[in-house]
Amino acid sequence: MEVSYRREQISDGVFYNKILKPSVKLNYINIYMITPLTEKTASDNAFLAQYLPDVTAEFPTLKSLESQMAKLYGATLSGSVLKMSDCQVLVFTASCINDRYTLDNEKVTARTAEILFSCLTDPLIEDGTFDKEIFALKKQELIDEIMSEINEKRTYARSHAGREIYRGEPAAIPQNGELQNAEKITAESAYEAFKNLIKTAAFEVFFIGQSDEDADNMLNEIVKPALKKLPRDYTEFTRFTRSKLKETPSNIVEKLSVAQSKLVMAYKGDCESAPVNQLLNAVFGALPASKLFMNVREKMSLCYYCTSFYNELKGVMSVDSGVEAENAAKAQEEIDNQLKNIKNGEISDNELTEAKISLINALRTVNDSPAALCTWYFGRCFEGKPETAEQRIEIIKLITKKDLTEAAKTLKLDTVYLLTGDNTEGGENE
Amino acid sequence: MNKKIFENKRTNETCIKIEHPSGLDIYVKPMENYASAYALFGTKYGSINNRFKTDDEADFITVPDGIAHYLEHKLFENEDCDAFARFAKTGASANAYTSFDRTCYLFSAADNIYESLEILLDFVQAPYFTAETVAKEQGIIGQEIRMYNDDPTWAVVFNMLKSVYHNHPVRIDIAGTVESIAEITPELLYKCYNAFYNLNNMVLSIAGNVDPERVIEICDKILKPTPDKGLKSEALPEPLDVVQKEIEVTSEVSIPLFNIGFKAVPEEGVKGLKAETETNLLLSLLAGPTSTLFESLYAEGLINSTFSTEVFSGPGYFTSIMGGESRNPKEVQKRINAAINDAQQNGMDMTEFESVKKAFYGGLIRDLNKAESYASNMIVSAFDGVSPYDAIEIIAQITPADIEARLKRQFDTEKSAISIVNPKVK
Repeated sequence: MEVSYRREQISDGVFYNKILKPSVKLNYINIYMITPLTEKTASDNAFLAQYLPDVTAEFPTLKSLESQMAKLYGATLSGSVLKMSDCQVLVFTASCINDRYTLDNEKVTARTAEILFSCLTDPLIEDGTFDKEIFALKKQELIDEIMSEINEKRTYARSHAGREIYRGEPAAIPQNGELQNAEKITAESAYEAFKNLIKTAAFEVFFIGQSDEDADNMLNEIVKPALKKLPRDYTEFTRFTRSKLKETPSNIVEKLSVAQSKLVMAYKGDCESAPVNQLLNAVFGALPASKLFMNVREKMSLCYYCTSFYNELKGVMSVDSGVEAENAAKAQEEIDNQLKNIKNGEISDNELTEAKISLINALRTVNDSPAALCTWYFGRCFEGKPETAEQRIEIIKLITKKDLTEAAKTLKLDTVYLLTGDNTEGGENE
Repeated sequence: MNKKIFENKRTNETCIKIEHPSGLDIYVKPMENYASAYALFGTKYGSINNRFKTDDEADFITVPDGIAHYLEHKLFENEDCDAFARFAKTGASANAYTSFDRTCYLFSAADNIYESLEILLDFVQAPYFTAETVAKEQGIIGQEIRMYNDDPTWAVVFNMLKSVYHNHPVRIDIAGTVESIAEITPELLYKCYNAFYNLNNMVLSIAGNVDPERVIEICDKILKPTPDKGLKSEALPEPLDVVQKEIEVTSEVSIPLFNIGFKAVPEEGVKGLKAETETNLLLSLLAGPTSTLFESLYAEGLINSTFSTEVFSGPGYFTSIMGGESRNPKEVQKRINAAINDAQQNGMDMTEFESVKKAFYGGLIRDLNKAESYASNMIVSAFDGVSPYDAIEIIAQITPADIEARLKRQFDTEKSAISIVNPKVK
């Protein structure tokens, strides 16, 4: 509607994406760097997401960089790590208010973007490697982050279940790598990882702003000159493979001192239509009106939350729930029953219509949020299947009950993971 | 019906306030090029309002802890059907939350916006509580409480509040306890509902793809006017000092978590907003990432990037908080206290004043970019008795002298408490 999107290649493995929206009050510049997820490189790469956006050659201390960003009206600059299928994605993102909203007509956008790119083109280097003192702090911070996973039990359970669900595949590796590897990082190993990453990663640069003129200026004055400074040696790599179903489902019980247990179940299937899987997920468990919430939580009060997620590229439907230890086995059985019902074609017209309306509503909201726009279009770039949210809506409208039932029939139980209190015996399989 | 346009010349922003004859205040912000709308229907009623009276009662009554949150859950269930089931037919994404000082019901929708608005206004006005449905909810909320019990980031905050406040109900967990919610009955729920879900105590706030005239039409149709019952809700008097200066517990955490709270005297209305804004800026200057205190604590590995500062304030409470992860929380506290004492005696380092001020100003501009934050800001401002753009003007006009004055009267290291969650020794 009021949003326009265009993607152009600027060099080998490097693309510029512009998203224009006339009323947007902020500008966003995001750099996504896609690289294979491997146990050897994951922690070094994750370290880079901590170090690079915090200090640069021009701003050699966190304080000096923070102060500069504050002057730019609280422009943000941050790094993060995503796991997408079998890849690790480093995201460096900056945002600032549009120049016309500053108090004294200051120009803040170009400067913000310049600093963002300088994280990659002019990082803080001492004696041919990363600054030793800041290295030590940032390494500790990465270790702390990996260790603090335990503070949030739901995330902890999902992450630990993931190791089993994707066992033997890159997707099993946590996005920040394993603790023992993070402990082994040296300034030299991290610097080597940096040099390798800027050479071999696939880049998707995103700009979100008001006008073509702004987007083209950004490309010609900031993005192209910066990227030219990076030595490139890019070869295509495999981004995703479908996860292999285990011959017999795994059953894992982990004990921890928790009051509420967490049950994670994973099913693997063959359906390769993203819209069908998305709708199936909505009917099954992604919404408050889904079978899982309406039955397992509302009707049977078996858990506090019970939600399903679909990992499209890996072909994995997982269910995540918070249960009382003594209800875990019952909840597992009931979750399984709800899926069986779908396989048997038990989807009411109401359920189908409501799942469609809800998905369509959510997709129509994508254009209202810069973050959602970036996530949507980056997701499509990653898969190599260009599609707008409007196009997805049209496909969803045509999906039938039979499509969902057929897709559900391919889903087979692969893993059951239970995190439970260390003093109880509840939740074991029947 | 009174209509008022709020305008901010600095940002060219406007929004509309309608004083509806039913007693409800309505805030509307139509946003250009927006496909969706975000609506909040809220009452100035949260976990802290556990002691109140209306014209119907002779004296103040005290109700069980966690009842506001319980009521929020129960309201989704009307006599004939569940509100989620009704929203499922319009495709809107609906939710609700209860905080210390408000309860809000909300939806976001791109299609069927007005149908969804009708549902929102209707279900919140149609309470249906029976002994049976109340008993059923005890299981679900009990589980929610148990989930929070497993969350050390939640524990570290509540332990701090319990140490800072003697009487003010902000020291009580929003959801209550398994024991306190067992005391809840349909009669108590109706009593609280009738007192606080009076339209004179409520606000509707909607932003995005929305036409004010149609919002009014729907309100005319759906709202059931209620006479103002002279609601009064007040906490018992709160002493100035803290309960205890330290509290430590152990939990499943990797690194100790800490929270330091500085108690101060709360203010209300525009004065309260000014106090909150100035204190936020002060905390940033004192201990934010551009401060020398942050720089040294960080360089010595005493804090990491989880360290943050915030102002926690509302009716009858005002606490400045600093917290995060640290391997030595007490040393961090010592250094923070030394920095405060030094700034109070020798003046504050104002080098970063202009930068930090700009950053705060930029943050408020960011909030104008999204329907969610716009609508939230309008409803919070309404409950606080300020206009939606007052914060922008306060920031634009703030001076270093305001900060110095605030530092002198708002930070007393004797009136502070530290809460620590330590890892279990394995």
